[in-house]
Amino acid sequence: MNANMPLLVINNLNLSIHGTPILGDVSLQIEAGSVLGIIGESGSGKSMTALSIMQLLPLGSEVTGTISFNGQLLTSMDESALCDIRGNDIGMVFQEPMTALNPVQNIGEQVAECIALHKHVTSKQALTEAAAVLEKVGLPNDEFPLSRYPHELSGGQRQRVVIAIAVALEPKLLIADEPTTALDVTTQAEILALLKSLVEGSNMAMILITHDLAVVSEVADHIVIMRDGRVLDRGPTDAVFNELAHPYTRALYEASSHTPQRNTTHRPDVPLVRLDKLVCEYPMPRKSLFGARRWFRAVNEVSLSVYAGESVGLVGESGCGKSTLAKALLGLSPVQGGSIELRGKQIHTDMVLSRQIRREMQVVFQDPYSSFNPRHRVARLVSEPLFLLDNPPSRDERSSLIRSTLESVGLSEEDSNKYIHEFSGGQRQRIAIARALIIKPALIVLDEAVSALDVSVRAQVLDLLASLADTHKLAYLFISHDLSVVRNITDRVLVMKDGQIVERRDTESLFTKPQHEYTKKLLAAAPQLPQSAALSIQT
Amino acid sequence: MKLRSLVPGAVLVLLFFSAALISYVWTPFDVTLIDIKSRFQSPDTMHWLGTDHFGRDLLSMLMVGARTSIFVAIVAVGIGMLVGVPLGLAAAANSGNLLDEAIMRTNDMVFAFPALLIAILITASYGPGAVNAIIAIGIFNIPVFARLSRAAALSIWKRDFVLAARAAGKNAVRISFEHILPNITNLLIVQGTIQFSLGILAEAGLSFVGLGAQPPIPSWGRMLADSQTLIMLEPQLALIPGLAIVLTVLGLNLLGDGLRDWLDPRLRRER
Amino acid sequence: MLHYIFKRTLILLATLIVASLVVFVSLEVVPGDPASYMLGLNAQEDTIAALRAELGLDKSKVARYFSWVGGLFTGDFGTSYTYRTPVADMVRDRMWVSLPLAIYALALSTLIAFPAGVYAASRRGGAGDTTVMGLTQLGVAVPNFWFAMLLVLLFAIKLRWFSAGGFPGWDAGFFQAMKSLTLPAVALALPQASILTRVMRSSLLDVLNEDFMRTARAKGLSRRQALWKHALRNAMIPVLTIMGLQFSFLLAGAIIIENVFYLPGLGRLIFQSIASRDLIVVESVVMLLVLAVVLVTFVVDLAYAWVDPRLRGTR
Repeated sequence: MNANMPLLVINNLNLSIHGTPILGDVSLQIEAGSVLGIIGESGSGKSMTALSIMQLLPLGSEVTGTISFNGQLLTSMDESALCDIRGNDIGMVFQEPMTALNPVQNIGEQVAECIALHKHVTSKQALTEAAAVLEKVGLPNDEFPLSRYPHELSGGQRQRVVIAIAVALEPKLLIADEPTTALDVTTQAEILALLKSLVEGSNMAMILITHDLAVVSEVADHIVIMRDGRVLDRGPTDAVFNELAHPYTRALYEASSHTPQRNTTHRPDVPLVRLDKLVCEYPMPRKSLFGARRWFRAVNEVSLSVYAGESVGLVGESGCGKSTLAKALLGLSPVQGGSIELRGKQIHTDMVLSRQIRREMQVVFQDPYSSFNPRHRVARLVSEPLFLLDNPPSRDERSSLIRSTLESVGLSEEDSNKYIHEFSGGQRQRIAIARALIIKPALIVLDEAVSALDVSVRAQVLDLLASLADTHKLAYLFISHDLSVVRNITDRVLVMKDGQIVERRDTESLFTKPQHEYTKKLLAAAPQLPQSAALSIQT
Repeated sequence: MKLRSLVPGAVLVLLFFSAALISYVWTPFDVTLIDIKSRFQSPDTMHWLGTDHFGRDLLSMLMVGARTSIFVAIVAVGIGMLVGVPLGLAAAANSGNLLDEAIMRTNDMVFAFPALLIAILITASYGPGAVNAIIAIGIFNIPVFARLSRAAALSIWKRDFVLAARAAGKNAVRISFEHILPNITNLLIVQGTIQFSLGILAEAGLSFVGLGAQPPIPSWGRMLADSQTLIMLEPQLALIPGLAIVLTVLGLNLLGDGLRDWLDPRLRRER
Repeated sequence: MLHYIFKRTLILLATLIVASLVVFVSLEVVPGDPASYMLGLNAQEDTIAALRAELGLDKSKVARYFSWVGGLFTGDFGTSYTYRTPVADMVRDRMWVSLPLAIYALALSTLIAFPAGVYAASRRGGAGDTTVMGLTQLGVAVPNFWFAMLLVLLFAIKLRWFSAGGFPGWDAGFFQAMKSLTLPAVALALPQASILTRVMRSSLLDVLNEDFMRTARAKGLSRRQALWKHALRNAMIPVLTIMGLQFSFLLAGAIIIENVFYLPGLGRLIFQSIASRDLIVVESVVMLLVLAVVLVTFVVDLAYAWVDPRLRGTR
């Protein structure tokens, strides 16, 4: 095989599933040892492209076009030949590490199976090799024996096992489909570093599929940008980001680095909300028969204040307690110690909040698909908080209130009669914001409210939030693990780790001059989108 | 694919329901009349399905038997739902709590007693009859619905819109009615048809061994029991009631399958 | 794991205790005076008094309960009023008919259902799947005692492959005994196998959709290999629940079906005792049946933990 020939060539790939077109005329190629990034938002077809390479498409798929790998035509091979290649010459890593492993088999067996499948070795030898691969991916055997089960590992650790399975036989090509999307920032950095080292160490080519431009800019040599099943732009990474030749590329770039316009407000003297040495604990499942029940302290004596009209960010990785804190503040989670004050008055800490207090605080959740009762229409969904009013509005007042609230989030009156499944993710978050807004609270808690949205939609929702804050003098508690988003929409940031606030500063200072070790670590781990020559010329 | 089963199922169910309802006002012949002279007649224009060993018209027996089976099964499902669903919802609303544990453990204990054993216990104390069958099958239905409601409710409690409702100041009871119950109704309907069909089989079994409706009230199970000794000579006496049971249960199951698919929100969206 | 076993054992014991209370209250407390109930309306006063003394009814209910339970532990199930023989003796022989029948039926049901369910799931939507679904749809609708009657008609009377009823006893040889249990077991197994096939199929289909199946294919496993090595064990978990429940239905069904085949099992004993109002026998037999069901549930719970390592707790 000619060393200059590309390792993988996809030519004019067209895919439709049960008649619905999914991919149109996709062509791309990758050289041995290089990294190709495929970028796209949800529905762009990037995952389907990966599955097409592996020939693991769902039933009802019709494919035209060719995929050639290492000189062989994958599209015309029979299943048993493909089985030889999968896992052996091409490895794949998927997005959801929590469900990617068989829950009833231990990790040693799962890695060894891949090895034993393609190499003629005894099962004992396969296990030995498996142990070696697990060490290589950062799971040393003394801490993580082969007999561990997946449910005993964290998300990042499970992803390492999946990577171990994929690279066990040193494949020529590794396809990684959103491998770090479900992981924390620091874990993401570690996994990306691992992938990079594996590529460099063995001349393995990698296709990295993601929606995150910053991630791909740090890892990929070449990138391909997809939308609605088509390739819109391609080229070496630096060139593509510098030139932003295609309008969609430009739009994506701008959305990723979008900063909404915000007016800074004058901070009043008295805080709106004050948490004083708050403690929240969970009982842990009993390990032994007769021992005392152990408690996990999710929030460990946290004190913080939020002033009217300001936007405060609360960042931390999963498990740091930020969601528990938010729920405790909203009276949705029990509190074991400390106090919460609203406008100087103490709120009961046993989840029985009075209606006056609940009226002042509302919440927007992360998952637009589980935030609404699928059986209710939008009008009823949006007006649920009106239950908190002592004098509920009359029918007419209600309808006009619903209408005006929907309009203020960019939707229309007709939408109030529809069911929630008729709306996209971004629209649902708008409806969620409408629901939070309708009783004109003083504070809205946004718990990862934009994390599940596509980049372009996210920018629009952030704009909406910024303008609403100005109009209605809202205070926000913006909880997120995504530092770049927090930077663009908050006045102050609190960094949380293991149930405690480790640093609190105004936003710009925190990002430019972090003090605490952990903050520095978080910032270092976050991938940075490079400056684009195209944009600086414009401004 | 399964929508195909909705129509045949509905047709069969309607057929037997109608037969049962009509029997309240009219049957071709009086089922309490014993007319030995006319026994063992083959189907003819007068007796569409023939007669049994006592000369009773089989069609009429079937119709009244349908009434017995359906009545017992429906009331038993009613008992199961009316008691079981609130229990399940209460358990889910108090998940992890003492109340939840208590309900679940009691459930498990009732499961230890198959409906037959409960019927035996009741009959041994109070004597046999259709009411006993209803109570026995009904008691056994309670943990079925409790367990189903609880499991379904638990998964809904975890959804964010329940948190939003709590943030709107609603308490567990209100949430159970406004949010949880409407979202499990589909499951309950489907399970209801399943339990209905199981109820018919259970009633037939109890009648077969003499623990169900007593003579002179006809029941399909007892018709089968009576036909046992005659099966070699007059097999139709066993085949006809048996087929009636099979078709009713089949109809209900097809209906349940069809309903499950028809009510599936994912499929609904595409219409 | 130990914690899990301990908890299940506690539940087992609690269930037995509550069950015994329920049985005792239903049969000795509720009917009012068991003695006059047993003897009927026309009994003479002194006969009733004699029976009352014999049954120890002058003692308090609590004391009677404990002496009954104590008796169960030592194997003294009391004396049948109708037959004047120790209940334990009557039960022992008959138990060895009913229990093996239920187990035989469970085995048959499993042997049919597992391959059928796997077959249907692997050929989803195809002709094989539709056939299996159609057959099972019929199978669940058939009352097992009716099916038994039809089997007798065909296999015993017309074809003469089996006898129409009766049980020669285990002394007559294992095969002979099993042969006479075969038609009843098949009759019992049919509806249960149909249910189990459907459960197996749907459980397997659910598992086949899971992410880890995609990982398995990405390793290079063929569809079939992935199904056998990864899907099946995961699919077993809900299937085990159903099998545990099934045993109670099978036992109840066995009781009923003994009527059709003239098997000398617990069924005939219990129904005759009900008819003759022999509460002592009914009490003990019901308790025994409950014990069998509860024990099987317990074993199934243990099997769960063996199949699913998540239940064993984390280390």
